[in-house]
Amino acid sequence: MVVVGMDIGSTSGEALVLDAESVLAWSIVDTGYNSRRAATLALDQALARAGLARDQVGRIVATGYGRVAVEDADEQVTEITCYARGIHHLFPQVRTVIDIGGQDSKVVAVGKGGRPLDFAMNDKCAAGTGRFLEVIGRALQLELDDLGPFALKARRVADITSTCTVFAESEVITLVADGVERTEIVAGICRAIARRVGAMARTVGVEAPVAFAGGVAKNSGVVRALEEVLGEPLLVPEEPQIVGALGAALLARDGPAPA
Amino acid sequence: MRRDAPAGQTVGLFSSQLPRELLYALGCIPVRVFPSAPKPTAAEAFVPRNFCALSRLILASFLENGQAGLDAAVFSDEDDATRRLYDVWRACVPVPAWGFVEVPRSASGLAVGRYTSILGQLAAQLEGRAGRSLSAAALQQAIRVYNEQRQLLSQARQRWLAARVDTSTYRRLRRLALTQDPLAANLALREALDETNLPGEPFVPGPAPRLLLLAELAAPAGLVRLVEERGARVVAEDSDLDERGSTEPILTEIRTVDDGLAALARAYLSAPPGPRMRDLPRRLAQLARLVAERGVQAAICAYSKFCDLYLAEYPAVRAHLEGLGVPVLLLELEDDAISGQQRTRVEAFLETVQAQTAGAGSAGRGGRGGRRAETDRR
Amino acid sequence: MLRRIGASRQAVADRLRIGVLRQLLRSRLGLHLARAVLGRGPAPKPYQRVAADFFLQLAAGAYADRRARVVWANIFMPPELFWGLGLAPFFPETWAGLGSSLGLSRLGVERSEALGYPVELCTFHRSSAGLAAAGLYPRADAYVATSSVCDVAGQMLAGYAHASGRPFYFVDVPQADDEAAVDYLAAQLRELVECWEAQLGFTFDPERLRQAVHLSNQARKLALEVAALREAQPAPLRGSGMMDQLAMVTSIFGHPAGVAYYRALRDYAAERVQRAEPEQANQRVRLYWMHLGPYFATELFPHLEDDLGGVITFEELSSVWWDELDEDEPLRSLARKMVAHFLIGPVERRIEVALGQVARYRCLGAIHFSHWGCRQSSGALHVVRNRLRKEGVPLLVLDGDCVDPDNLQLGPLRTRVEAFMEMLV
Repeated sequence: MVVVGMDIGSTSGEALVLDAESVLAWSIVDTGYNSRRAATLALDQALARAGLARDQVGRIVATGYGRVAVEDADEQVTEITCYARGIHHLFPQVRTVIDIGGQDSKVVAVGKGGRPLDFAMNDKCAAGTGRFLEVIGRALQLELDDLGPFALKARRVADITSTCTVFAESEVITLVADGVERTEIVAGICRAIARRVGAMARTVGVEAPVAFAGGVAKNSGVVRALEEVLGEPLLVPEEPQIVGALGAALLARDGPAPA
Repeated sequence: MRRDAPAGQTVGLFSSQLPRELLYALGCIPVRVFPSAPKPTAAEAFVPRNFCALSRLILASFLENGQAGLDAAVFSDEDDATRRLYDVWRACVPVPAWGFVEVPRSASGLAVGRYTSILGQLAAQLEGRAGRSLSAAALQQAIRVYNEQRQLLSQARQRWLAARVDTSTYRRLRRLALTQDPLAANLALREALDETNLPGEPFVPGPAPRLLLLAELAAPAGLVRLVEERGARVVAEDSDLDERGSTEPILTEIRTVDDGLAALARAYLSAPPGPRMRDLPRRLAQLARLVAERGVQAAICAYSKFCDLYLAEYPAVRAHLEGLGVPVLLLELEDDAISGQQRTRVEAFLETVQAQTAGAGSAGRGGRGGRRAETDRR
Repeated sequence: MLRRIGASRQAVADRLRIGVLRQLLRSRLGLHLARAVLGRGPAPKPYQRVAADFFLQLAAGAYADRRARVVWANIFMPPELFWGLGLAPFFPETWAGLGSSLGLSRLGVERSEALGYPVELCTFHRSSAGLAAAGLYPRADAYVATSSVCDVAGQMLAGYAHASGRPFYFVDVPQADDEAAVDYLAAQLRELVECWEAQLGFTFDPERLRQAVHLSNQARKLALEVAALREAQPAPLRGSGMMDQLAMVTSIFGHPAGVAYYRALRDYAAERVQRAEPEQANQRVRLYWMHLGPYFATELFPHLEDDLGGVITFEELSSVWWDELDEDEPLRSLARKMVAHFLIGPVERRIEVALGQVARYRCLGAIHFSHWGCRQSSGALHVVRNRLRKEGVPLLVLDGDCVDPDNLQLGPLRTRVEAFMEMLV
């Protein structure tokens, strides 16, 4: 049977096609303002890459904030459950998964079979999310993809004191005016995110091994900063953005893990 | 009477109403806990972000810096935040909590009696930990040592008001008194006063706008520096560091331990009140006295974010001060750093105050300037 | 231009609405009208009719009776004292909740900001300040507050008293519950009664207080029966409907309506159990609710209860935490009642109560609603959560607001609740 898992977030939407044995294909699209259209686009793209038609799909499980917008979904499950399940499939030994997305971040304690044992979420404050990086990147006139390598070049880490993303932008501009190197500023932002998320992780309890997923896991600067803050090496999937969709697809195929 | 330097344990306190004399008489070195962490981030795993910033900062200091020079800490029901800090501290800070002391919120006879009894219980608890018994003689000696400190600090204040000692030195001396062994602190105070040993002068207000700072533990040093760099002069600070940390000398001959405890209870409960006493008339009268005595022309409330006792009291304090012709600016601070936005607000506030005092020549109704700065805070 | 007209129309409409409300609250006719209107709503349950009548009486006493001696108090003052002294109590926090259910919280909160109250403060108190400033609260002849549980209550009442020039008494509640602590508190209560006699012009009638204590004991027995009935499976009562129990617990004991209310509630719950007709049909997971919940209409509870099958079997603040009062020593036993509250003192007290109730009601998990600005309840959740987790009880923390609907984001709360239920099922 072929199943699909969909993760429709506020910034990006993913669809992943799974059969009885392996992942066949996936897609990542920008959500934009229309979750419904993003869901359709993501599904079409993934199916096209898998060489399958819509009527060949058995079950669809949707997750993410936009899960209610996925009209074809047979079931809607929260991203907490899907992330735990997805990461367990990729790294069965993982006990904690941290996800930093475009507009939220979460930590999930992962139990047997990929069941979530506990979780914490930050979806109120941009500090500690990908949006923080985006805002600062814009202020520094850097592409999002360049921020990680930039941070790794820093010899020192600037101390970013503002807790608010908006005010951090003004602070960054001031630092630039004061002649602080951009590499140091970016490293400072990565550390600020890592500290915020690290504190959230500790409320759940960080048990190794720890995985890091979500779009921001592609940023090597944040990966390093988070490893330093947690004092643990991080397992990062090859494609960290599709973990939620993978978990949803696994749920569609196999159902929930037994308690 | 000299006393051998105690090999006592350093015990951290979180309240200006816990008698240090009691701990000192038991051979401990009581110190007020000041935060050392620059940011409260480390505490976010243990307390919510919308929680008293001072408590968070203190917690973060101990999470980041381990023991930080303390052998133990004694907590009190200062406020909701300190109560919860006590709970969380025991779960995650390696410094042992030696007790949680109920401090009454009144100076009535009933409350003094209650506090005397509580201090007796505290003494009994601490005797085991400190490894010695409390005697009337030791208590008397401790009271003498701290009375000397009160006198020295009073002289230091006079020197400061007479501009013989600058604000930063004055505040450093007050902080020293709160955070060091009292014998060492008294020595340092005497030396500092000797260095500035000029005939005492009465306080004469100069041309710079005269500021009253209000804070919980202490106004941030950065704020004090900022306002004085901008040409204002701090002439009073209503905080545990300064005005509220001052009791009158405890003048009593101690025959029994109970006498001593009763004297301490009375003195500490009668000290200039903070908001926790809920005695608004007395509190506002205290602020009015400072305004009148020191010629205060403007006030800055530098409160910790989410510090409920101060924030809930603020409208009454503001109305009272503005009624006295003193404009007020409120800053809600996450830590000791003054951000760019806060700096701008302070500077704008001072500019309006300076314009008014220069124009009027005396403290007029500066409410508007304060209010305009106030509404900018969001 | 149109926007200005629109804005000024809105301002006029608001002023009219407030003006009408003020008149209604202060007139007996208005209160009769309210009773009639309430009676026409969806058929209230018998205990709800008693509660509504009681609150209308309370309102009449505080607003409309010019001879009444009105005392504003925080909710941790024992209500028996007011009923036993023949006073008309008014609890600003409770009325902020009521105001929220009537859609008045935005008015209250906005007015409070204009008064200078920072937005970081609890909305029960901020909204109260704003509603009071709008003239929607009654006059006060005196103010009283306890130091227990909540810092802000005492601060606000002290502020109101100062502004109005009326007397204020601050009851210093000890952190311990030994006999010395009870002595201290009882002495304050005696002093308070003496102060009020002098300030409010009445003579203390010990028999009246004794009667209030007697009524309180009767109501207490019935409340305990209700608590026992709620152990049943399926749970007879819908937890969201019980969120106002705190308002009842803190105001109705000592009044004759307290006995009527708890008797009606007991009978209602017993009937639900006997007929196996629970209020909530879909019951998959039994839950324990900590702290309070939103007073305004929200989809949160229907989603949790009806869609997801989470049944709130008991609420922390519905607890009867005190022993039977001694009618021969009313003030002393009220003092004992006050110091016995589990939210006083170290958080371990609260945790032990929670664990006991989770076990008693056979709950699979607990939910804590962290009301914005409530430090005493949220500050030590790290400790609460770890201890509950150690005992095998998962805890979900929801950040929200009980009074201000603008401060509650339903989307994130739905996700958390769904994820929690996915974990438990």
